[in-house]
Amino acid sequence: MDKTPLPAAGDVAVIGEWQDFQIDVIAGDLSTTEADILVAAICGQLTNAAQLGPGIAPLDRALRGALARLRSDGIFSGRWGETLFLSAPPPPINAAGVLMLGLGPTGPDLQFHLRRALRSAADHAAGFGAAHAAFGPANLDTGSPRFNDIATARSLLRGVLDICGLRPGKLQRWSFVAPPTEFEVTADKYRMALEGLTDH
Amino acid sequence: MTGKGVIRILVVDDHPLLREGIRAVIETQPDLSIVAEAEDGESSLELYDRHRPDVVLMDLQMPGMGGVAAIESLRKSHPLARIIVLTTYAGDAQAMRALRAGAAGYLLKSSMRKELLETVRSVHSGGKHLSAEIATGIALHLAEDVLSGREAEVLAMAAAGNSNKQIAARLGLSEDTIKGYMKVIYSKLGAADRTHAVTIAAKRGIINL
Repeated sequence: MDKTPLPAAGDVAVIGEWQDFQIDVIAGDLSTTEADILVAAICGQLTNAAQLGPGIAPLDRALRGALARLRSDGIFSGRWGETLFLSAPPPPINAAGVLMLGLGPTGPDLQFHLRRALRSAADHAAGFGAAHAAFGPANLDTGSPRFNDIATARSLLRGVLDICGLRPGKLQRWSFVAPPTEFEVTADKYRMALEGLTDH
Repeated sequence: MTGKGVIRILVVDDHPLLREGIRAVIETQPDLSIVAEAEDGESSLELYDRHRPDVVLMDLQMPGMGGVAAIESLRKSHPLARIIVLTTYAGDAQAMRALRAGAAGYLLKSSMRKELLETVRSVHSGGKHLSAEIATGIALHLAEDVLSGREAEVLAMAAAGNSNKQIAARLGLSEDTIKGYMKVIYSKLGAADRTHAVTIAAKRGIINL
């Protein structure tokens, strides 16, 4: 029986490299990922804090529940492309800031909204002078059966690549953060999504 | 410089030295420009109407109309107004009031030099911005009840040195009712006594000393 060890937190799978820009997948969670800015994707359909999801929960705990509280109080509504930047987060968070990114409610035009939201996040990250931004969770549950995993990844990649085209040289690295148990399959998914983009 | 693409800013603070400090920081940036300065909430409303700035930098503690009331008024008449609070108060209750009133940013004056410029640009482009310290402070008091308006009023009077009897006379209530209010205040704030309650409430921005 094959007993391949799980990837360790911090392992990196490079998805694509250009002259001065890299997209990769990192094993781990946002609360311990080292980057200039952490981008926490938050759905607009949540009705309670517990629904922040396992991909965001460790970061929320490290922020002592701040993400859930800002969301539940309506200070951050989670509408498509909404951003709220939290500067100087406490240890163990290893980043200059956390950018909350609203991923709205599921509905029509999902691909368009995802791409635009990621473009907004990447634009803010570049505006803050970040060279490296890490986004989580890498595996979004869009709630749309018609919109498969690879299409989701493709929309996310498009949003990031839009900004690299518009603001060249600002961001040098964008990472998607996935739990070690989902690391390999996530990296494969993003590679396929990128191939689909470069084929067109 | 007030050309195309420049972010036009209104500064509202009752301290001339602070306004001067903000101007000194802003004027180093070619894409930012201060178009007006106000020293209280009332004049900020008038100056906003006259200049229609892109971003307002607002102090909270000012004579006359304070910052929270000014934010509420501005957002009522101009729902798209982008307002950043600049304050010395890190208290969660104060921050919560300002954010609920419609502030898009909340910045401590102690971190102003480092964060002001990026906060102005971020808020102008539609984002919100606050320090994680403020956000975790808000979250830590999730389970606690916030004092009602009357409870905060009673505690503010106690903080000013009034006895229960004096507070009762001023509010036209019985001394027993004030004692009842004080018990509820201690319980909500987790305070052991009167002084402790005042200290906690001041630190959290529930009352101003």
